[in-house]
Amino acid sequence: MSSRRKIIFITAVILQAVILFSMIAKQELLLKNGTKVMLKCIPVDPRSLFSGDYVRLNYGISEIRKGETEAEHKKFDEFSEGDTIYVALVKNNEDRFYSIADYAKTADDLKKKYRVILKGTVDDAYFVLRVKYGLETYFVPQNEGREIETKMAEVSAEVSVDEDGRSALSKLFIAGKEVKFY
Amino acid sequence: MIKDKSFINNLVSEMREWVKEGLISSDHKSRIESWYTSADTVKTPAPEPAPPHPKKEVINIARVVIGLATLCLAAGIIIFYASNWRKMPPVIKLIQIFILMFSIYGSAFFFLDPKRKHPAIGSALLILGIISYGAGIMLVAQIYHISSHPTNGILAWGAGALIVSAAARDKYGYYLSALLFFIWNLWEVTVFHSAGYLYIIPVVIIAFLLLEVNDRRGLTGSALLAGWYIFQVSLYWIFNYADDGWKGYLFIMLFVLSGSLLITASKFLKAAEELRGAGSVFRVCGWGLWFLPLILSSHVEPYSGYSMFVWGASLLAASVLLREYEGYYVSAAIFFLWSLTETGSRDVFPWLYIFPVIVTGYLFYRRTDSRGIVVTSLSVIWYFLLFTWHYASMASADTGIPDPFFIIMLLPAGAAMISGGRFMRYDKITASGGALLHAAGWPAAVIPLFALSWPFTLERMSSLILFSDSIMLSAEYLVLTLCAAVLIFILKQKGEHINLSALIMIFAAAGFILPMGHTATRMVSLHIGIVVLSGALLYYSYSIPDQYRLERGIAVTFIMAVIIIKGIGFISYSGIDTKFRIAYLAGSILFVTVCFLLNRLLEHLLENPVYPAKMINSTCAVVLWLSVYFSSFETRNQASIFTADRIVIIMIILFASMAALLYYLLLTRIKTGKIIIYLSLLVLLGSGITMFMAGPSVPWQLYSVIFNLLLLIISATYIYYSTVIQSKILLNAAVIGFVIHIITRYFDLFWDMFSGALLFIITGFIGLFGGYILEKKRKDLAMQMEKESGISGKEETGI
Repeated sequence: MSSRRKIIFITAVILQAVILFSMIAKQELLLKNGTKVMLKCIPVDPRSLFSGDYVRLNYGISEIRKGETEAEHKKFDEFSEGDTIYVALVKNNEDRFYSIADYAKTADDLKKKYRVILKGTVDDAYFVLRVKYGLETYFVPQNEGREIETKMAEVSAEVSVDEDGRSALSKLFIAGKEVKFY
Repeated sequence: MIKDKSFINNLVSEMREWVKEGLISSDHKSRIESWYTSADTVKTPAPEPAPPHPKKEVINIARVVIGLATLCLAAGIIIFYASNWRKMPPVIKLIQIFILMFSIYGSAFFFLDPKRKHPAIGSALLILGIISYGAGIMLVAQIYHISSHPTNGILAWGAGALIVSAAARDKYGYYLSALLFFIWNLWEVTVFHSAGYLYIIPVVIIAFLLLEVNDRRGLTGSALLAGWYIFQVSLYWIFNYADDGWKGYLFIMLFVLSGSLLITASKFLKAAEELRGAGSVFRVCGWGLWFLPLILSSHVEPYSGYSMFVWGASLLAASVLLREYEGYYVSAAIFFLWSLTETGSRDVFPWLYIFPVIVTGYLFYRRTDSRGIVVTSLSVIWYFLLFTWHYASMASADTGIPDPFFIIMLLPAGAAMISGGRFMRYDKITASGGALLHAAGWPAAVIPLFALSWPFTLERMSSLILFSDSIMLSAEYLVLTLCAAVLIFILKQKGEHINLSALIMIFAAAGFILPMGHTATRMVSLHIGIVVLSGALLYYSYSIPDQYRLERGIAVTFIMAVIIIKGIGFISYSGIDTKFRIAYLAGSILFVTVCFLLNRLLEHLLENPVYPAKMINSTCAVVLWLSVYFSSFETRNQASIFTADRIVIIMIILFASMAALLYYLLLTRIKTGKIIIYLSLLVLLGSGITMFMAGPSVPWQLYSVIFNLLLLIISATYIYYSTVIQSKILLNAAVIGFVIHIITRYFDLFWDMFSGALLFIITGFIGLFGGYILEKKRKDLAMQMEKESGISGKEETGI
């Protein structure tokens, strides 16, 4: 191996490490600096709940229904499968969970009115808009997802959200108690 | 003595030096050389002497301890990880994965150095390093519950793998990277429905890197991946952008063009040794692209329409330019599909179809491809059918009868095909196509004779010569007939026997002039046609066998089909139209008698030993027997023949005249076997007279007696005739017929007279006795036949 190749090889390995490190840093920064938002998980079909070593999570904010007014209908119909969607979240008065106040194709207008904006992708647009935020998977040690699966009605999640609407799942709670596997 | 090749070579070179030095003379040298190089003295090199037995290694206790310790340590680490991994805090896990990755890459770095001479270990460690890097990505995703776009992880993995493999110039690393990128792409395309445009970048980079290391297998694989890329992008375009208009056509042309480029590229690639496999893959992919419009057509436009035409045309052009001769066939098939869908789905006549047929035909001819000409001939026939069916359907809008127009058109088409086919045989290239046309022409020519010679009414169909029902059909008929005439004239000039072709042409001309919608005209003309054609076909094909090899088969099939189809027709009609039952069955007898007489006349005229007279005779005999047998039952309430349609009388007169003519010819010409002719005349007259006598006032017993008598005469004639021609089959068949006659008649008469039990008991006794007598007589006759024919032996008599 020539010395030039040696340098290239070492650079390549360092680059891989940098990629890994950047992934970690990005998530760590998001978790540290993002706004903490509590989201209520809702039960889904238990057959698809648990597979292998992760739990599928479904949130109250995962579904957006069509509004009643003409303008709401128009806004709803603008979305189709694969579109990016921004949702504005506000804290409920009666509990500590957040729910959707508004949604749009771009974040700019929402930012003016709301503090927490979450970015997602429309997964299905038919009767309701089904939105994926990248928060739907919670990895657990093998065979330990059963507990979450059986108590899904009591499960909630803490999510970190940054200014651009990017989010990361930070904690999972069952009946208000944080779940920790290690 | 050592006599292996290497020794001899050394010796020869040594001897050159010896000669120079004067140690030996050149004569000595050549003698030594010839002694060593003579075939029988040369031996294959003796096996290498076995290496000396390796010295027994001294057991080093330290090495054993270290080895065992390493094993223990490895096992311990694995067990430790397995039981503690879950409980480890994420930071520790991450640190470990970094350490693992760096240490593996470090070892790989060490072993990949050429000085170490352990490239295999280096490669293995590099792969392991790449895997540990991927494990790191997955671990990070797991710790931070990242699930937004899972393909990003595998993309990062593939990119890292490619960079490190490129740095190490390791082909196995390239393979792994290619696999990772492929999974990434497949995931994107199938789950996220993206076009996957970017996938080509890693494919091209990897291909260049593999070219750099001269890896032939890898390059072939890269070509395959590139092919896959093209296919996937094309499918994406089809499903997202193509339409049934100009965009669709543009895509079709683009696919054909890209396919052509790939095929051209394959030719260049194949020139280089290491790119040969890639070249073959490109060629297959090119062909795949040529076929892609099929998916496009079915996707954007279920009725395909012109997109198929555009496809066929571009593919044909590409095949011509690239000299991909198989493409001619494919485009011919595409044009055929196009015409089929146009007609079938849209009910449009694809008149343009003739152009691709002519163009492909010309190309096939230029390539001297006789198989291609067969394809062209089939296409021409197909075009004729499409054309005729279209205009016959249009004519039906006025007349309500598309089928007769379509069928009658087969007559001039048959004439043109037979003569055209024979003409095409003069050129070696077109000979096979000509044979096909010739063979197809005969069924075409005889179908109208069968299909239209029934007494249904076609009053609204007027004579074609008037050009009144359909100008196009009349013009087509005329053109086809004239073509046939010209071709027959040319064949005559070339010295061919043209009588049969000319006969069909004359029929076609008659079909053009005569009002075929007029039932009497049609029936008379077509029946005359059937009889004349049967006679002519049999006569000419067996008297000039070298000119009419194909026609011999046609002749026999035709006459047999005539007897069987017409026989079935008459008997069926007698069952449907019961008041003219006797008339129909007598008509059948008359018809089959004419066929029989014609056969006898031809048998007399022809001296060809292979002429199948017996087969035709037997068929006539069976139909005759069945007609008389069905007439012999209790038949009441018959209407007089004179109250029937005029056409019936006309047809009877026609066939009676033919029969009379044939009787005259036979009885004046033949010297032996006249008795059969007379007996047939007896049956004909008996049934004919009964037919004319039949009427409402005539008691049914009269028909029954006459036809039962006739049936007995027929059975007796067959038994007698079987002895004349020494045919055991005929004898057995006649006896079976006779037994059926007796049994059915017996039940017919006595069923109502006795109680069932008594009837069966009596029947049983009579049957036993009658059967004994009959069987004895039959055996006696059979024995006698065998004696006369000189065959003896017990087995032979056991019939």
